[in-house]
Amino acid sequence: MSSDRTFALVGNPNTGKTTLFNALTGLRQKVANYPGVTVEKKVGTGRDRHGAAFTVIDLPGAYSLDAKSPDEEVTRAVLRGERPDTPQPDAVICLVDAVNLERHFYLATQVMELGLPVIVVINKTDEAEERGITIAAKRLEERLGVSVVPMQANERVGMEALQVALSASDLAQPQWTAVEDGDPATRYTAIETLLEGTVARSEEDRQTPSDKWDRVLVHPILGWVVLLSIVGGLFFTLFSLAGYPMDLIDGTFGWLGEQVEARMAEGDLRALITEGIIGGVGGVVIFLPQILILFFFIGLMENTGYLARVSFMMDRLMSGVGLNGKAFVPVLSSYACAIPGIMATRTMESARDRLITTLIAPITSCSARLPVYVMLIALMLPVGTAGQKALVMIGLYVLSIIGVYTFAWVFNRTLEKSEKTLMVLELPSYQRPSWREITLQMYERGKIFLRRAGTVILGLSIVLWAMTTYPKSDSEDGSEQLAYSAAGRLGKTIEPVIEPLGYDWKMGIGLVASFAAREVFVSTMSIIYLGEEAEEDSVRDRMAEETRADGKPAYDVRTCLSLLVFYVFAMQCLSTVAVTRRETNSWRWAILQVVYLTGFAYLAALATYQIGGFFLS
Amino acid sequence: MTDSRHLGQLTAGEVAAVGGMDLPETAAGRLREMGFLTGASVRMVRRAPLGCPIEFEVGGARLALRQADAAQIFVQ
Amino acid sequence: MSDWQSWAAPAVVIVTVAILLWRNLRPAKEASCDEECDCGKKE
Repeated sequence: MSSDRTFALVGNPNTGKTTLFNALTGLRQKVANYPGVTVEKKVGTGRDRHGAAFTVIDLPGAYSLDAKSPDEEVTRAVLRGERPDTPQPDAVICLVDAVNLERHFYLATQVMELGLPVIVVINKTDEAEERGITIAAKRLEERLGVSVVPMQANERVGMEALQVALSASDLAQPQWTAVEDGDPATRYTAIETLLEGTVARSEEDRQTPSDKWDRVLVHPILGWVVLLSIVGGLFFTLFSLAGYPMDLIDGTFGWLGEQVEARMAEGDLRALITEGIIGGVGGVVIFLPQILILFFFIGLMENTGYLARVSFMMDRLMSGVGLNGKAFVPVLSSYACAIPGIMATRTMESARDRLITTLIAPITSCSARLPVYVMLIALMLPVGTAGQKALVMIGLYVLSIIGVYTFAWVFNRTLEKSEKTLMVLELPSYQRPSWREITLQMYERGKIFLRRAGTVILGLSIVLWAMTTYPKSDSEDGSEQLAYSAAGRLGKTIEPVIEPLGYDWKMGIGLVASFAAREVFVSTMSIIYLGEEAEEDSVRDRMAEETRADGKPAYDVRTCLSLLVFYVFAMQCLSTVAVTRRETNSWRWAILQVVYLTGFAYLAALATYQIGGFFLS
Repeated sequence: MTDSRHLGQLTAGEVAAVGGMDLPETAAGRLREMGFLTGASVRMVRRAPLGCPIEFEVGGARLALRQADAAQIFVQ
Repeated sequence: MSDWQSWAAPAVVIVTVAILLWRNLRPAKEASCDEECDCGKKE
C-alpha cells in the first residue's frame, strides 16, 4: 500500500490524545525522537473500515501554533510540512475537550487555517455531561462542513463513528475564515460566533467531582500525608516487593550460566559467555521489575491527573531554588533513570528551567545506582541489620536530594537570567485510571530497557570481559592475569589519582568501566573477582575477603562510604551525556555536566575518606 | 495602574474580570491564549498548601499561576 | 581446554567492537529517524 493516508493527531495537553492514539493503533506503534530535539515522535498504524492501512502521528500537546515550547515548535513544523524527517500529514484529527470547548478551539481553529482536511473529535463528553454541559455536535458539523465526532476515548465510546469518518474517501476541508489578527481576543470572538448555540451549560452547580477530590488531595495537611504515603509506597515496592521477581531473574541467569558450563568444554569462549554475556547482561536485566514498578506509579499518577496536583503542591518548594513546579515530574522520573527525566523537561516553556533541570537530573539516585548501593552497603555492614542498611540507603537518597537542591540553587544564581517566564500549570479533572494505557506504557518502557540491555550493555560487557582477559599472561594465577590485562594496567595507571579516595586499582577498573553505565560496576566486579578463580563463592563474599597490602580488608567502612558518595554524584552514564547534548543542542552543557558532577564527586569522596580517617580505623 | 487590585489578591471563591497585564509579551500572549482575555471572568479556587501557586478557573479550565505572575494581572 | 575457543573468543570480541563502533560512529542520518534516535531514549 503505497498511498497510505497519514493522519496527525493534534490537541492541547491533557485532552486524552495518547488514549485516542492507543485506541487507534493498539500496539502497532513506534516511539522515537525528532532528530535534534528530545521531543518524542510517536507513529502508529491502524486500519480503516475498508481494511486500508493508515498512519497516525501523535504530535506533542500544544495550546497554540504560536510555538512557545519545543513541543509546540515540533507540532507546528510537522503540520506545516516544515520538518524534512516527517512528511506533511494528509489530514488532521483535532482533539478538543468537551468541558473547555472555547479554549480548545483556539488551537483547533488555527489548525483549520492550515489548508488540510480536518476531523474534529470532541473528547470527554461524559465528563461534560456530569458538569451539565451538552454539545450539539451535529450543528457544529454543519457549520464547519467536516466530521465532528463526540467521544469518550478512555471508554472507547465513539470509536465506530471516528472510524467511519477516517474511512471517508475524500476528507473535507473545514469551512472557516482565517483569523488574520494575531490578537488572541479576536480569535476568541470568532470562536464564540462559531460555537454560538452549540454549547448548553447549566451553570448552577460549579462543584465538580474533581473539587471533592481536591479537598483532600491538595489539603494543607492531608495533601502532604497522601503524597508522602504514595512516595513511601513507591519506595517500599521498589526496595522490598521488587526483590521477589528480581531473585527470579537472578536465578534464571544463574541457571543459564550453569547450563552453558555443563554443555561446553572449559575455554575462552565459555568464559566469555558465562562471565561476560550472562553475568554482564543479567546484572542489568535484574532491574526490569524496578523500572516497571516506577513507570507503573508514574503512569498511574499521570493518568488520573494527580501528577499535576503534585506539581501544584511542590512548586513553592521548587521555586525557592529557581526550579519550576513542573520540574517535579522530570526529577521524580530521574529516580528511575535520568534519561526519561531529561526528556520530560520538554513540557517546560522556559529554556532556562529546562537547562537547570537537565543539569541536575543526573544527581537524583537513578535505579542504575541501586545495585551498586546494595552491593557496597552489604560490604560495609557485613553484620548490620536490615534496618541499619536501610538507614544508609535512605541517607544516600537524602544526600542526592540535598545535591539536587544545592546545585539547582547554584545554577539559578550563576546562569544568565532570561526574560522572566511565566509558570502556567493546568490542573485537569481527575479521571479513572486506564489500566490498559498504564500497562501499555510499562510495556513500552520495559521493551526499550531490555533492548538496551541486549545491545549497548551486552556490547560493553563483552568489551570489559576482553579487557580483563587480554593480553594473556603465562601465569595460571587469576590475580596476576588481571594485573597483566589491559583493564589491570589501566587500573594501575589511575591508582595514584584514586588512592587518596581509598580505592585500589581493582576498584579503579570498576570505576572507569562504570562511566559507560553505573550498573556496569557490579558486572565488572563479577568479572574481576569471579574470573580470578572458579570457586563457588559469591562476588560479595569474595570482595569481603579482599585485602590490601597491609592485610586489612580492602572494602572497609571508610572505602565503602567514599565509593558510595562518589556514586551519588558522579556522572557515569553515556546515554545521559548523549541526551543532554541533544536536549541542549551543544556539547558545552553536556561536557560541563560531566565535569562538574564528576569533579564534585571526586572532592566529596576525597573529603569522606579523609575525614572518615579521623573517626574510623 | 498600581492602585488597582490584581489576581493575587482574590480570596477563595471570589470572581473577577480580567483587566490589564503587566507581563512580557510572550507571557501575556500565552495567558490570553489560555483564556485570560480582557473582560474574561476568573474565579479564584484555592491556594496551594504552601500558599503559592494559586488555582483559578477560567472558561471551565483550571489553571494555576504563581503569586508573582498573578500580581501582574489586574482586575477591572 | 579446547583450542578453537581461544581464537573464537577474540573473534567475538572484535566483531562486537566493530558493531559498537559502527553503530556509534556512522554518520547520523538526517532524513529519517530510526533506531539511531532510540539508543539515547528513555531507558
